[in-house]
Amino acid sequence: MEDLLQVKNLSVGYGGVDIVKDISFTIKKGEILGIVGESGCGKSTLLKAILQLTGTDVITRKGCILFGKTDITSCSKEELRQLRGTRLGVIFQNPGASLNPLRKIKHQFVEAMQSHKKIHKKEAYKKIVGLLECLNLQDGERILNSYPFQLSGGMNQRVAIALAMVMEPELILADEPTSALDVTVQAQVVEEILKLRQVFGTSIMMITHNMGVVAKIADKIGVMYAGRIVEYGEKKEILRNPTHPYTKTLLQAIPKMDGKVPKGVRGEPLSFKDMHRGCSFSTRCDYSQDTCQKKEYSITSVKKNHWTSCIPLSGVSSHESTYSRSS
Amino acid sequence: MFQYIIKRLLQLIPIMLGVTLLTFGLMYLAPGDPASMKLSAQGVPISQDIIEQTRIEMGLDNPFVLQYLTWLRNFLSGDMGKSYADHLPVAEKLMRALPKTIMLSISSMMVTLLVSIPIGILAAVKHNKASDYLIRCMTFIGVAMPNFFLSLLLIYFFALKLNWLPVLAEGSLKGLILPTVALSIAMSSRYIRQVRAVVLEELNKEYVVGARARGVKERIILYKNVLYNTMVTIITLIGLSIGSLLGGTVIVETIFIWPGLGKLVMDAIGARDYPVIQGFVVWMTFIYVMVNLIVDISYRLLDPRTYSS
Ligand SMILES: Nc1ncnc2c1ncn2[C@@H]1O[C@H](COP(=O)(O)OP(=O)(O)OP(=O)(O)O)[C@@H](O)[C@H]1O
Ligand SMILES: [Mg+2]
Repeated sequence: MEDLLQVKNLSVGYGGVDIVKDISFTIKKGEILGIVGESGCGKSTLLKAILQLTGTDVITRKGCILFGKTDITSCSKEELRQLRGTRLGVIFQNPGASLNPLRKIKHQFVEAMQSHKKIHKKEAYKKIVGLLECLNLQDGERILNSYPFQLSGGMNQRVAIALAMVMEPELILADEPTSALDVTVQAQVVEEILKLRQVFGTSIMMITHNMGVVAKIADKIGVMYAGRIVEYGEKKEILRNPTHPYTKTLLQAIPKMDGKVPKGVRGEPLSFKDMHRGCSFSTRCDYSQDTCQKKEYSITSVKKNHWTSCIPLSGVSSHESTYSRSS
Repeated sequence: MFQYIIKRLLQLIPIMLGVTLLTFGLMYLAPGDPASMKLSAQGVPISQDIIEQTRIEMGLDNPFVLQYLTWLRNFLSGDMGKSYADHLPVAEKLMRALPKTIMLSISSMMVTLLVSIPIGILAAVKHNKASDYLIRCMTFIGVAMPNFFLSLLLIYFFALKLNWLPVLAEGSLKGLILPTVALSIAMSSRYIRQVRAVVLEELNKEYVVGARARGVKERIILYKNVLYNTMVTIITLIGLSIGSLLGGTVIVETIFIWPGLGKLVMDAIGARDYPVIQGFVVWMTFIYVMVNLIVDISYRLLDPRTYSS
């Protein structure tokens, strides 16, 4: 399959601080990539960099972002604007906040469409109602004539999904689209996002801190820690055969039905502002060795399409028992 | 909505009653007997006989409440009493000055809005760039400059040196220009800063990022979303200014001898012409409560969240 988005050695930061460091990955046509990591590890920063949004203070320091054949980092403002919405869609964490509170939803749809192509209001309207129906929003008319505050959170998020889809972009970037919703609505919204791929063949980059959501929808998983991807691979591989200690803890942190409280990660992540050498997870890692403090970030292949940044464990994942905790 | 307006109008009744009572009490609180004040304002030599006679004429021998009610009844039927200074009915004096004040208010408000909204938006969009600094610098000077000084400068240059405009306005249309400019410079400077601040704040809202992420044209974001949403704040500002403008702008009107309410009340205060002052205070109160009401109604029209919840 064709590569749709290629991120190569991307480093991004705010002001003097680097957040995202040396990230590379690709998303193929029709593929869903899940990016997981704890709060503050730089997931949203990565997304803002891919969008190259002005007014978010994000500065791209290094690397390139190839979307199809265009390098997003060297596009003009107008080229970027045309790209956003038509070929790249975004769904944000807080659905209500990405909509103008004082503007009827239909106007927000129409202005998004008319910014990209000449289309009559009525025609646009018809298309929007169809799209809403496709996303299981039957009373489209009522929704379109509402203000965002008149709809529930889940409804708003589905409206936001539809809004991102009006121009049928090839890639949707979703930034924790479910974390502001309650659990039952979360499941529905995840279904809807999955449906986008079935119906429109959309590729999706799904950012979340919820391993459960990723396990459900992703084809590939990138695990992010302190601004770096520390493990990357096919979903099955990562779930069955995690090598990085951080990935393992994340997997253990999925709540199960057995009533046990999931295990967390001890300690705090290092501050982005301080310089430090070695593996940034080593301060919290149960398997940390002397070499971990010295080595530069590098990746080791575990299998085809599966790599990790952890040296001690990369080659020995099958001997997990050696390192497993005594508990 | 209709119910809301009715409710608000009914609430105005006690406010207006309170204010008229206070205004009427003004004559009693002021030092000196109203009758002798009236006589001295008219320049009549005061003797005990004349004072007694005037007191009875003015109904001052009646109890306070009765006097107030009589006064209020007359007031409501349009009879606001007569000026001590020239015996003209107060209502007539106010009515003659009012159009001039309205003219000056409207012209300076229009100029202010036409200047400050575009420039304020420009400063916000060019946030921290050279043009923003330049605009901020100018408005700083505009805000800091006292009105009377600015008026004198304007007279000096445009009337005396260049001879383009008359020194004294005296209510003519040509004479409207200088007082309008004097008022608008100060107001625009304040407005530009306010517009810049609210637009900047609005531009930092999440929905703007959302719209940009959808590729909505910057022009549409600015004019159809941001500007509309800042209207609520801008209308409050306009309301406040209109209120004080319609009360007459004492300094500018006095300097340009513009025969508006500001000048009228200034002269009345100087002559201790209480009936005129009373009429003016009641008028001001009326204007303020009405403007407040209109501002509140427009909030409700602009922000759907306030009326549907
Ligand atoms: N505008 C900004 N200016 C400076 N630093 C910022 C800015 N936005 C975020 N950061 C910092 O960048 C780091 C990463 O933030 P980011 O929002 O990308 O995290 P995240 O992984 O999306 O977290 P979450 O799961 O909570 O959304 C944080 O340490 C944060 O403090
Ligand atoms: Mg985030």
